[in-house]
Amino acid sequence: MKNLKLTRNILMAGAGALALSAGMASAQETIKVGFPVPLTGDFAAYNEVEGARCMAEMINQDGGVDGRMFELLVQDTGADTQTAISLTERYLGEDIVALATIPFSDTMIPVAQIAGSQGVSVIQAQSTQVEMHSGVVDNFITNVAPDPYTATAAANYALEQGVQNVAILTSDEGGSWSAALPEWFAEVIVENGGTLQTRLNYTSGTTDWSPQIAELRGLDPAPDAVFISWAMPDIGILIRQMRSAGLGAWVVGSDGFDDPSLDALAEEDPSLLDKVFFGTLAPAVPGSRIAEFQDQCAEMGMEVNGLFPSLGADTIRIIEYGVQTAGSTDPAAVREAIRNAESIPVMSVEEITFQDTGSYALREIPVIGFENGERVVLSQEIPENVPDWQ
Amino acid sequence: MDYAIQQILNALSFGAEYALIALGLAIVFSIMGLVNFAHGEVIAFGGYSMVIVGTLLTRNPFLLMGAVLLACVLVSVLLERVAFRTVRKADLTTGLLTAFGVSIILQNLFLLLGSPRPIPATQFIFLDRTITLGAVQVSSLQIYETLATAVAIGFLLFFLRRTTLGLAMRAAALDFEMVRLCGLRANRVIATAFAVSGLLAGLACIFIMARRGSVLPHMGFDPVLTAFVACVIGGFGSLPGAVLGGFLLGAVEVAVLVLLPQSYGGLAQAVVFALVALILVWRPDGILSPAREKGDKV
Repeated sequence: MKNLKLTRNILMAGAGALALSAGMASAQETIKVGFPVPLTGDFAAYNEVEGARCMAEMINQDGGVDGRMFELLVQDTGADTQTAISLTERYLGEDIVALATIPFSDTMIPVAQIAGSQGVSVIQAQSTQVEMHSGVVDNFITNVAPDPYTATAAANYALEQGVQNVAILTSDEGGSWSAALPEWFAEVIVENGGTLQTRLNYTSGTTDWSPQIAELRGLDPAPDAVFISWAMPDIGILIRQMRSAGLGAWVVGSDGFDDPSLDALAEEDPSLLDKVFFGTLAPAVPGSRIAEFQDQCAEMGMEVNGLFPSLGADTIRIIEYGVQTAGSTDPAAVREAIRNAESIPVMSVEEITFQDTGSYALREIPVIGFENGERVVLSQEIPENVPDWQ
Repeated sequence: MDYAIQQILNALSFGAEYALIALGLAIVFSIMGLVNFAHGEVIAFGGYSMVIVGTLLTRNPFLLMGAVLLACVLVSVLLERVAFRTVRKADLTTGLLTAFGVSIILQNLFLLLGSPRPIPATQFIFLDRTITLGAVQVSSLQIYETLATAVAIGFLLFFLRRTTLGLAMRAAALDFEMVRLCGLRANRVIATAFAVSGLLAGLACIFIMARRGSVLPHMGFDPVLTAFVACVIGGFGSLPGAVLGGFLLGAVEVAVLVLLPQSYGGLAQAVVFALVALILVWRPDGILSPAREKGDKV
């Protein structure tokens, strides 16, 4: 009887040990990434969840990262900063490797500060805002180059087209993205002998640009290009109203133009987009790596629409590289591995690196335009004449 | 001079859109004392209806306009039946919160069943063509919108003064219980107010879609906030006040945009609302606030 009890105890202890080790293995095999992002509200279109989910699924189907599987923790913030902070605190208790959130500095900075207290990095797929690179946080990494690079690439292409006289439209409502980016564009133009003719204001949700267009029509000489860093549908209205008013200037923009709904203007009249181009984060044109990725995701039954959601795939590839190189899911070790890498393969372009910059990816900036209403890459460069922004 | 005329025409265009939406708000408020913030979602519903009908049934713009008007009237009446009738006798705050609730629910439905991205719908774009008159350019849409607002005002005046139902609505605005005692059906009077409001929302939707060429879940909310301010300026509950407030707000917005130095561009909204505040200091109940008659609601 005593032997039976002993045997039972040994068996129970063994089972307990097995369960414990199984639990540890399971914890080791999971790479948790937190996504406190807007799934609803005005900014839902800017979350990277669709692309991240698809890439995580692809990696998991291939056996994970050295046997570790990705697990995405996704919850809606509705673009509310306080909700993002609360969710960040929750995810930090669930052993996440990294966090991704909405690409606006008023959310990214507090989220990064809280995540930093536990050594966790914020790895953002699409953040171009310069505020994030001012040293306010040291655990922030973005997959793309800051706005001054986009502005410079667009300005360089404009100069190649003979643009000399420019007008810029600015707004304080999008932070430096809508207020300073046009200024950087103009700075490059002026440094190369051009003229900034005027600055005009606008507000979010403008559905009638007639007052600004009346100002543009009053310029002498007529501007060669009008630059604005804003998004659809306001941009589409501006382009249509400018053409309707007989203004033939180039309409130049930033990544806000990179929305499939802009292409719909071509359905109405392809020539509306003939003199439109924009510097953006990565080349999402037919035949590109991004288009190929979207097709693969569609075959898997996972729709990924547009550039912004697609770039979530890059976040997953960056974390994959960090975990693989560090050999662990320790957040600090993963960040170190990412920052020391000479080259990290990602989905949207062949490779990126953070070695010289620490917090942002040096990558080629595509300038996208339209031919017969179809998107084409007009130029692609890492600009070297970027205005001083730091 | 040409430049000044051009900007005055632009101000008229801004004002016409605000006036049209403000009228829709004012007519419901005058009967029920309800500030219907879901009016913007009725406009957005018209936009989504246009996408659905345009994709599945017809791309004929004139049939689509009819579909938009019908959709807005139906959804407006449906909202009254489902959401607002139950809180008719509750206090103003309950009605206001209900309107916000309906607005949020509808926005999220558009988001979940539609898309957070703009969905293109360009069938009404043909309305927006530039007409050059000497040195001045006028958008055909500006003309249509101003004319439509004028016709809507005329229709409303005729309806409210010359028809039994219209007279009943005006009477209900003064003393609802008395109207019921006279044998008129309260439900019908209020449903008619919502139907007229929906019709105005449909008209506004046609012009908004002609400018934007795409529909978004929150596309109606911001214009309704602006129209609400127009109603406050003109005097809430007053239909001519709503129109006057709309045109005044349009004029102030364009003037601030044009006259404010560009380096102070970030203050544009602040300047607009400071001017609105000054108007309200002068006329706290709005410029054309309805005269308080005996038995009027306070």
